[in-house]
Amino acid sequence: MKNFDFKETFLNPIFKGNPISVLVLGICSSLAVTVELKGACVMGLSVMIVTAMSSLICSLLRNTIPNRIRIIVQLVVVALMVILVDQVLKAYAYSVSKTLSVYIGLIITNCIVMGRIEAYALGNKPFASFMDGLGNGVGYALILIIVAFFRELLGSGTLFGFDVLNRFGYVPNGLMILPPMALILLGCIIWVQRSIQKDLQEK
Amino acid sequence: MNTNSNTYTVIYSTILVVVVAAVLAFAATALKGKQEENVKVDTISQILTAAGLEYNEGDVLQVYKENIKEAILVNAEGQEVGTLNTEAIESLQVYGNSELKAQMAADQKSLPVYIFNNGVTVVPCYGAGLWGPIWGYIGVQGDLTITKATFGHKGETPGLGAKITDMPEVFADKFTGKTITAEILVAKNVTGANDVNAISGATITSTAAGVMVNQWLGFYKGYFGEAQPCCADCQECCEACCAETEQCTKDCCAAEEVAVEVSNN
Amino acid sequence: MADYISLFVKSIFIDNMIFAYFLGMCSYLAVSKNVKTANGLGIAVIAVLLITLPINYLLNEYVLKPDALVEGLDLSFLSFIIFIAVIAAIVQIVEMVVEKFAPALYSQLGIFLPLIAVNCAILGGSLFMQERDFVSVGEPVVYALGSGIGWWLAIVALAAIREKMAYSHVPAGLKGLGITFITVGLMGIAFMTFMGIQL
Repeated sequence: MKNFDFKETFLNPIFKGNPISVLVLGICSSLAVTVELKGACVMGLSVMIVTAMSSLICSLLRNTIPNRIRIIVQLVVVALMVILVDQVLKAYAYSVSKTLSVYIGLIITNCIVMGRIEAYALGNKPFASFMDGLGNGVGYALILIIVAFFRELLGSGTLFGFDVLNRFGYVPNGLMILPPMALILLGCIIWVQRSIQKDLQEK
Repeated sequence: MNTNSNTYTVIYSTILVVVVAAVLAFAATALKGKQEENVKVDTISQILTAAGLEYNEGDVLQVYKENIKEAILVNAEGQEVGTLNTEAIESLQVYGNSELKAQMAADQKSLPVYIFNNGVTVVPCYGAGLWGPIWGYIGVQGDLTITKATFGHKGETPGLGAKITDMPEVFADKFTGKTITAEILVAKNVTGANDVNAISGATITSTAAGVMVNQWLGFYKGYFGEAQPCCADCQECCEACCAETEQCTKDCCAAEEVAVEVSNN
Repeated sequence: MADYISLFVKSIFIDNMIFAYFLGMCSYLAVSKNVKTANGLGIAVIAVLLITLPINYLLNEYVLKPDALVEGLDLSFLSFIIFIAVIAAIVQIVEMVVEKFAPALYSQLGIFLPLIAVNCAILGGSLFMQERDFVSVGEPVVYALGSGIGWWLAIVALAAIREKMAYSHVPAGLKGLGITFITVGLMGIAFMTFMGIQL
């Protein structure tokens, strides 16, 4: 495990190389689940498990995979992990799995998972790949949770379903619940991040 | 080893498919019981909501068992053709969506009726919404008015059709007090006593829910028909009251009404 | 017939893949810098949706559903893996066919086809199809066409806006990605006005 830099592999994807706000990967399936914190947390956790585990498996298999069917093998590994997560959620967290509905299945086509396997796991040792996958999953979950925090707080006046603002006479803003607000919030997060880390700004 | 040869690729993919299929089949079988249990708890919690009973996430089955009087199956003529288990908490029987769907097409129907100790009878309904299946549970009291209706859906548009489930105050609660002896009309801008206004922007889902409710209450006409108010004296007297005393007195009816009101609260 | 028209219009405007469900966002944002390429990707999405959705519908109906293949056998846990495999295979086949018989089209669409295998809109279409329990094979076809056109419309519209926006003065931190997100959000709000349509 030489040259394995924990900080570089694990922390980098969380902040500087955040998969959502910097690399624009994996937005597809995620934003629709950010209406409430609970759904966002479960979704973030599922993606973390899927990216970490499928990176690990692909990295273990990396020297055996025939190049021609590389993509299919990756898809199969990812789909396997996603189905397992979906089955476990249906068994142990039924109400959450009902709200997430098809979006768990859509983790398969989440570009982060495939992207990290293709770009990192196929060329690195298993443990490093696992940490890289985990880091990307955490970075993804972080953005989901930030977006969900604002949407639930301002849209329903609650956090995790507990009343926070309503008791002070706050009237929930229905606009925040609507899908487009997730995108606008994300735009604002990117704005904040790029104002702090000036080197990320586009010309 | 040459990982690009045809033989290797074929063998590799075969092994991969077998391993993946084995893992998935194992996981699916291992978790199946638990998943079905969840679906059942979900169904029962909707029945409890329609019956106007309070419950917490953990004690759904307990509350159901304590409050259910009997759960029977009736045919289209209203005759009892079977019972559902309500005795043991591990083997409670309810009709889920797939059974309801099968009953819709069946010639010889056996439809579930859940009768609760608080005088509310809950019947299910199932039909097609805009995008996919919708279903509901309707609580009916002795004078054949609806005490509470609750709806579920699989894929209606969030923020529009999904309001039949998410926002009971705009739709489902409006069924309360309607009589099931006449058709309940669901449409835009209706004002009749037995009408329900459709959700604005989700007319298709709302009217589909209305069609579903009327269709299923039609199935149960034979059953509820028998439970018509039975006293010539006071018209309002309910079945339970008469069945117990065999004759109707004004006092008995008054007492029964109070009891119903209390249990509704 | 009226049902099909209503489903078609609904899936284009009201249940738009992009604005209502965020499906296919990655390629939507990455390939919307100019109208010409956006148009190409949009058409490719329509084509692939139109082919994969009916196939997946038939598979779901006759193989995966409980009791569909053999009485008592429930294969629905395999649906994700089957759907994605069908999509990946179809994309490969389409790519080969187009390359062989329409080289001109291939040079325009070719680069987008591999992108589409991992486009959430395609898998999402299949998953929504499964969830919505369509009753005949006509419905998934109409749904595929409608949502494909909706996706195409969304990406072409965004590309047109981004072409214009290249000349605007946007705050430094918002340049590029940030302002694109906000634009998509505003477009989504505009699309929500279609919700009032009575069908």
